[in-house]
Amino acid sequence: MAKHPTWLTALTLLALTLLGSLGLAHGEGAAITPLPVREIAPGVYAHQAPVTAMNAASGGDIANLGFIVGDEAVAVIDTGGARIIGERLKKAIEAVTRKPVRYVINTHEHPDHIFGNAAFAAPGVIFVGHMNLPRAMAERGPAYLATWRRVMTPALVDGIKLVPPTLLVSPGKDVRLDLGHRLIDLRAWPPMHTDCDVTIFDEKTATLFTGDLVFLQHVPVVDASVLGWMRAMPALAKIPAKRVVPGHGTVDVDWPQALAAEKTYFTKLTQDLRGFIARGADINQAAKEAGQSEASKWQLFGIYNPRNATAGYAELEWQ
Amino acid sequence: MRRWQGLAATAAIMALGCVALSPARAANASPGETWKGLVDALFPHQTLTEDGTIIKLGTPLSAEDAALVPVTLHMNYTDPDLPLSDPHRVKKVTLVIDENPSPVAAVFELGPKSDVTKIETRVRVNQNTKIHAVAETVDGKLYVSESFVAAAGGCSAPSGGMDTAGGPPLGTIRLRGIKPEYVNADARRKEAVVMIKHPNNTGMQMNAATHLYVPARYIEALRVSQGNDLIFAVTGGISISEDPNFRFDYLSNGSAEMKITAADTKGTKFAKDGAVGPAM
Repeated sequence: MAKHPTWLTALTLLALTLLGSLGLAHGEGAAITPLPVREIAPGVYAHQAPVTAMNAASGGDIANLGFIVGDEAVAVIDTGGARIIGERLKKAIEAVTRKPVRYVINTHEHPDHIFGNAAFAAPGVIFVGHMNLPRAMAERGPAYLATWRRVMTPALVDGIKLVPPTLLVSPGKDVRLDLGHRLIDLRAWPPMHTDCDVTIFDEKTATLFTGDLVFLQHVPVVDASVLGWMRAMPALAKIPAKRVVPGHGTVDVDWPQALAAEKTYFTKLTQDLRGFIARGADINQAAKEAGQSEASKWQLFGIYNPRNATAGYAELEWQ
Repeated sequence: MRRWQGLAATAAIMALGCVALSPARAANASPGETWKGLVDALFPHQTLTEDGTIIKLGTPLSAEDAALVPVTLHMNYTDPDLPLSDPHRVKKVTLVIDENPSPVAAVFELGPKSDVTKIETRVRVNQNTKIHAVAETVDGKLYVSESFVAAAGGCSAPSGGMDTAGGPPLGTIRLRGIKPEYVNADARRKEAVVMIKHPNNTGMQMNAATHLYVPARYIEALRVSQGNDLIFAVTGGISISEDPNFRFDYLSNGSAEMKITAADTKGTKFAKDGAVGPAM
């Protein structure tokens, strides 16, 4: 009797192998699974990425993405941290609408938001971003690619192309895009998270995509100006949104309550830094100790808080 | 990264003036090879000895902000009261960031009477790199201290990201005394910070509107004195961070005033004479 199961197993294996290869040969494209998205308001879709670092394990899926469907066209908001993430977002869009993607909006320059751009590059697709974004991509793009080649797998990085925006948004001059009976407002901000932050507001549903001007769970990352961020926060809070999609963390949250956590963090961090500077503590001590009372409230705190403290110390030293 | 290589050579020559770097220095050279090439170019036919009591370099393991990496040099720190004529006293320190486009970040000359045992500054680090501090002592010998920093992209980080609206104009020098109780009990040993508002453009940053590279413009010379006695002088390059910042200790000669002069590569000169104010 012992022979029988072995024999059967071998046959089953053979059959599975054949089926597997047939399946692969049959649908190469089917290997790309659509990115999970949720319709958080009529015609407004969001992908909530896990809160984690950019590495081989996360595969470039660490930033929240989304798209808005009008009567005529689709606007994509950020494309993910690898080309494959952009491809998967495209699949998710194709699963809910046959309307063409007309705009791809990058909320800022960071790799986890722009590395999927190439998946959407096609005639008729307009890339949109802050007036500083093309410069930021050109300056920092090569270094980002080199770094990401080290921390992710080569396969994840190979297909990435930097696709800069051609439709630019300047601070003080909002841009309104028409997707067909659906207007979305784009606003460029002064230096806050980066020096090229853009927010997207869907008028029909009062949904705001904040990019990384709002962080939830994931500790905020300051790559431009903590003081600029704090100063612009009241203007950001005034946007009459009913719900927001932050750059990281839970999507579809109330507004402006979503700002409260990061406001507290910045307040504590800058208070600590001012105290360190006044007492004569140096920048190394500040990097280790400033903001630590917030540590338990945030994820990835150990990675990004020292950075925020270092840059914040240098900024506040001139105040 | 290819774009960097042409710039690297240009920037290195600009920053070093007379010191030519070995053209064999390739971006993909192993870390050890890079340093060997740099030693051949900067300290030919000389022996570099490791001795932490003479020179010790302090850096973070990874650059929290690649455009702003704190680096601390400790000179003769185990024996700050070494007689001024002692052959082991450090008179010059060269700070080298091996893998940066312009590896020589700064050369510090220490005043013979001011007994500086610590200088902390902030540098840009463009990629994972070894950092070396090479000290020359009064007897002409060379000592080295090495560390490694993981980082990316510091040289092209846009300058002016900080919220400078209404801030001080380019060239503003600020002098900040550190409260003595924070530093140590020796009443004559003081600590201060000199800060200069300056973009220290690397030549690798772009203008947002034109996408042309902003020409390199950086502080190339800085002198800090107490009365007529030099505390330290710096010859700097593009690896020093925006708003150059130097925190240092020194033995006070009793002068109430500190004198600071600086010049950038455009030929603009900056100066400040002032009392070392208390910490803000």
